[in-house]
Amino acid sequence: MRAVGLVACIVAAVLPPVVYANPIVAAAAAVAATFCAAGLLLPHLGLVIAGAAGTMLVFASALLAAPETNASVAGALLGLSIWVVLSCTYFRQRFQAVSVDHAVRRAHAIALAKAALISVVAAALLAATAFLVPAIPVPYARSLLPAVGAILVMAGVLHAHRPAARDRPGRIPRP
Amino acid sequence: MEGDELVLSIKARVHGPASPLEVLPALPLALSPPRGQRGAVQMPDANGAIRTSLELRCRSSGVAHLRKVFLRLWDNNGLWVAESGQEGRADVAILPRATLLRVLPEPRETGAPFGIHPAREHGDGTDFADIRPFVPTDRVRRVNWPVSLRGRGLHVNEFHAERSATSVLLLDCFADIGRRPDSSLDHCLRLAASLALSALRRHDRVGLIEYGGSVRSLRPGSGPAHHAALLRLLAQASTHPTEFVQDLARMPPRILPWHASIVALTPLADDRFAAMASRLGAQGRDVVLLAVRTDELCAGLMPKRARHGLARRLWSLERGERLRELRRHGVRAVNWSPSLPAEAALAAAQRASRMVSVPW
Repeated sequence: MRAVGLVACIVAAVLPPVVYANPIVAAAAAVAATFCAAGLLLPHLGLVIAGAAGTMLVFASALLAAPETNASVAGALLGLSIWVVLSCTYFRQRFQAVSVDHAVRRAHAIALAKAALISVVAAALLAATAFLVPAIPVPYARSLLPAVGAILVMAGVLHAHRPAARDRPGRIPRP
Repeated sequence: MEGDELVLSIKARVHGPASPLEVLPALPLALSPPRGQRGAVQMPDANGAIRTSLELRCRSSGVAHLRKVFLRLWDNNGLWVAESGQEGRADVAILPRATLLRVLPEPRETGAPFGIHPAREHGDGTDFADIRPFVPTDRVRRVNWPVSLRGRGLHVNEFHAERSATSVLLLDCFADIGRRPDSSLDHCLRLAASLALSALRRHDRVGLIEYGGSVRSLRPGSGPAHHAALLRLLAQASTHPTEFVQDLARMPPRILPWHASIVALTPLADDRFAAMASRLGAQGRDVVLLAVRTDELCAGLMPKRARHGLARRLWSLERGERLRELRRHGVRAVNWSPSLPAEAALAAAQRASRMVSVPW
């Protein structure tokens, strides 16, 4: 889980300079990815969220500064890598004080792969829908439609992963 | 045994989807996971059953009560969780770790035959006692030929009879200073277990009295079964705050025989225990008191102000005065530093007894 997260951090550090080759962008992306990696190794979810936000800001700046803005593949990859880092950190943070069975790691990896696949398909669908929409004269429709679509996808993912929890007697003290 | 590892096995059955199940037993302070892993996460099998084993280390002696296991069912992404607490009952008696001591306090009085302690009376032993004229029924091999050949008739050697001794370990359960597993009670329990093991190896009889809020005792005995009973009683020792004080001087002789050598283990923090040791010493009993140096045990726990040199010196003076007061009542009282081998304190107690026996 740690190796997968570190690979995702490297990908997140590489993508902004790929979109806009600039030493400042590269340095900023490296710093943000370092935050992500540190949060993954500690594990500390807050640090990873800060690093992920920084990476997205750097990527957005790179997109603005880049002469060509057609970076949809890089954007999807960045989103996936951030998702992987966040998921891996949360996994490590949750099971920090317990021994984790291999089957649990495998199940988490499969769930991660499924979520990545759904995200890619959803992104593709949203892109295709957004490509078809320009004919609609309603203002902000191109922004509203992907947002609504993303919310629906997230709701679908959450519903698909929900177990049948019947009893919730109360909080368990943290170990 | 203290310091050993044990395996805790937990079985559970999940009714629902196959999701990771986190098993978290509520561990008592006496048990700790050696690698910091206090639970386990497993995937249930096809029938929803899981069986997990946790390795636990016994930190300190005592009875560890395992009562509750928390179960937490996660989804694969950690977005939903269901929790449940299941009651169980398992008690683990953790015995104090004993080491064999080379030095033991020599008893003033001996007891039953078949031991290694030379008694005052003469008999079949190995320690030379005296020379006396030969009388019929004396063994020829006891004849002292160098003395006999001087022309005063046959003389024979006499030896001290060898007897066993009776020791009663008196444990102070009024106060426990420091943090377990490094508290004064832990050190006293370990030393009591070591003293009992070493004395039983020397064929002595050993008894135990836990003197505190509740007085619990084990009459002197010997043998492996008695050793096991003694360790079990030591494992149950704990402090109980109370105002009730029982007079040990009135204990029945089967529990506290007159000829028994009493070894008191105490942090010397409660006046009631010191007063009782003085009372026993004033009765003419053989009392050896080992006072744990609690300043070493709680050095890291005290606030900075309390660690001032002057405060420590005042404490040392007060403690020294207490020890002197005990010695005035005939108690062989010595300081015992837990960072040093216990033999050093026991040897100091021996020296103290020799000093007491000198008439001037």
